[in-house]
Amino acid sequence: MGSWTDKNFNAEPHAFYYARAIEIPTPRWTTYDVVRSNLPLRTDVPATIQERAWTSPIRSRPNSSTDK
Amino acid sequence: MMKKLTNKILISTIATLCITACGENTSVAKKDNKSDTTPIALAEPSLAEAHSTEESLAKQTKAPGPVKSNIKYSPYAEKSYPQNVYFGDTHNHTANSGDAFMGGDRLGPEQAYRLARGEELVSSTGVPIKLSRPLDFLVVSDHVEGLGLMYEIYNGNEKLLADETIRGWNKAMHAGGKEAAEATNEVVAAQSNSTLPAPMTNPKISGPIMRSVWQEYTSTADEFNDPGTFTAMIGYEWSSVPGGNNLHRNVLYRGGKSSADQMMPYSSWQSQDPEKLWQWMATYEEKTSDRVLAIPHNGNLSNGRMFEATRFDGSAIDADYAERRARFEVLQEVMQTKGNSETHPSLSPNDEFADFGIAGWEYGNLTMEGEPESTEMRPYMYLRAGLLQGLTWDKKLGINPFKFGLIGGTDVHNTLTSVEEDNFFGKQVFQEPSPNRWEHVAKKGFGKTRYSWHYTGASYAAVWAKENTREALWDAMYRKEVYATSGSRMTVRFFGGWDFTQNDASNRQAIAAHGYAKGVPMGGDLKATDSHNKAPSFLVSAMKDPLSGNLDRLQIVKGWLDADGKTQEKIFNVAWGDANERVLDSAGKLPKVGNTVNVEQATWENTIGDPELSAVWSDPEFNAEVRAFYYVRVLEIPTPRWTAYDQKRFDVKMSDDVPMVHQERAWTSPIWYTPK
Repeated sequence: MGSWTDKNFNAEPHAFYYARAIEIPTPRWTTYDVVRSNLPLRTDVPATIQERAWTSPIRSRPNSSTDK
Repeated sequence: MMKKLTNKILISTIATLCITACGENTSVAKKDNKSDTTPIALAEPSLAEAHSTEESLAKQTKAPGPVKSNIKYSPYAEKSYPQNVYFGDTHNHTANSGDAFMGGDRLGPEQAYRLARGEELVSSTGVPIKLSRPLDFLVVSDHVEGLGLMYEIYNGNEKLLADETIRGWNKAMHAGGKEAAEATNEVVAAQSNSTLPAPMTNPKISGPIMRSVWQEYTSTADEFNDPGTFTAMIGYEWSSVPGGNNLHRNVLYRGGKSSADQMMPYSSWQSQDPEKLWQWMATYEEKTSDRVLAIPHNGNLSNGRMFEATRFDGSAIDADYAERRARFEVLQEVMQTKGNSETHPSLSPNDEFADFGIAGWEYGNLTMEGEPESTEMRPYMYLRAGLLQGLTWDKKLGINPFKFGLIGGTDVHNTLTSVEEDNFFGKQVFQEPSPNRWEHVAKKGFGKTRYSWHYTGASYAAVWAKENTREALWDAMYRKEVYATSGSRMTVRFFGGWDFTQNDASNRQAIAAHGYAKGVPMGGDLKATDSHNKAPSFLVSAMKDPLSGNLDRLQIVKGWLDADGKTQEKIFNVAWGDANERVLDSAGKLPKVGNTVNVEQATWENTIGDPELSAVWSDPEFNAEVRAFYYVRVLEIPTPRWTAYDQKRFDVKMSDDVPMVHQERAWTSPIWYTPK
């Protein structure tokens, strides 16, 4: 939980903001396969991932903008 | 889906026609139902039947499906245990309850369902209300005694107003305010003293009125029952309250209107003896093939009668009594808006959390009449003590009359099942949000005063079921796979067995799979073992309510009957938040979790505690020779109580004795151990 203010905000240019939430590392599906099939982990296959979420953006545009 | 809808409309049309056409000639409807129940069964196919029809249609029109291989991959496939917990209220009163109506409630069952499923309403005092999240189910359980009668009195029913006392109540209701509130107290007192005016208790006058109110209610319940989405479970409250000692029971139906209408609910005007209620339940089940269970009201206002050592008539408890009680009363309400009944500090001096929801409620019974509550009464009215009494009876009779699971309910009397601390609408209409509601006097007696601030924002029921239907929820309740919370929505799993290993708690997704494979869930019995060298182990996990506080700790409460036949209890801390900083002392006590509550702002921070906790715990003091039970208690970190939100929002200053901070909690149904 948190709130954030864009300290570098400039009202003139167009901008967008979206949030990304990142989990702590958890096993990738390949790791479940390896464990369930009793196989060795391979060095060239990633063992963990950080699951994440991406929100839709919120846009900021100048009042004078004629772009529609 | 269309087919099901059509059926529903058809049924409600038939019901409406019957009510309109048959009027109050109830003997006709009764005779129809009695003569042959088959047409009813045909008119309303069960869910299973509806599904099988759809499936067989699908089989005729589609190509053959895939053939099952030997590959086992999905951890969730081919498992038939409950994956979901459903939250709801088992104890909700609407304007159909006499005391609620007299208190100013003008919202009926339809509004109760609408609020519960997430719609916005305006309360009887004009305050807009919406729940933080919809509930999954609701049991409207109006007092059956005088069901709908107060509304008739309000409307000036001539037969009822022939009585002078009733005329006075009619006048008071129309006057409103303080007069109406006083009249409500008079009605409650008259009922508990069996001095209600004759027209109300004359079945020839009141019977037909109550029957039509009941049938209208069951129609509304069927209309709002939406299998898979929202369950409107039919119920009522049998309101036995001899001398102000609260022995109320909520009766919950598995089936719908077609069965519930076949008999009028049982009223305490017929008898205040719970055994007579069980007799009615047995008759109902036999007649309709439907099922019913009873949930006794919070025991804290029973003045030692909820788990008394004798039957209602004073004779000794015997095996027959124990068998019937265990069959019909599978659950007990552990908390509601009138306080908490888990235990009392005088019963559990070593339980540092035993004082929750006790203040004000420990003065006396419901009406603060007779004797004040005493330490001698407490073993027979608080639930942990009741569970312990059950072990004693089990040893004596070979059957445990008090083998109940723990469940929650609100008991609100304003239709609004809203008991979260930041959204507490009070028990009665005159306790709905207003600047001075906290100091309103609810009851006086024995030189003490019960104020509105004593009321607790509680509680909700949590049910582990495979789907959100009347049948699945009722079945889960009957097997006691339920828990209660003080109002927040924590997710709690609890399993007992003989072979759990620490590893079983390490994988969040697999807890249920391990739990059901190696043990029994909450509400179950540990299978007695031949190997007495082993102690039972328990798999426990809890996840916080995303809208409420982090978790402080998971506890297992153990009760047992020692070798001398004495009841014992002990609390074990099995998992806790901030574990890198908090360590158990030699006595097993844990340092307090801390407190982040800002009372002035009614806020807190989840910077202490943990969002989830899990553990495998093995009983270090297990004795295979003695009876025992184990239940889980989960505590949240401190958060603001409803009084803190009121103080902030209304800018008032309450007196120093009003609590502002508390620790919300959950209690699971126990798992029992009985020696071979």
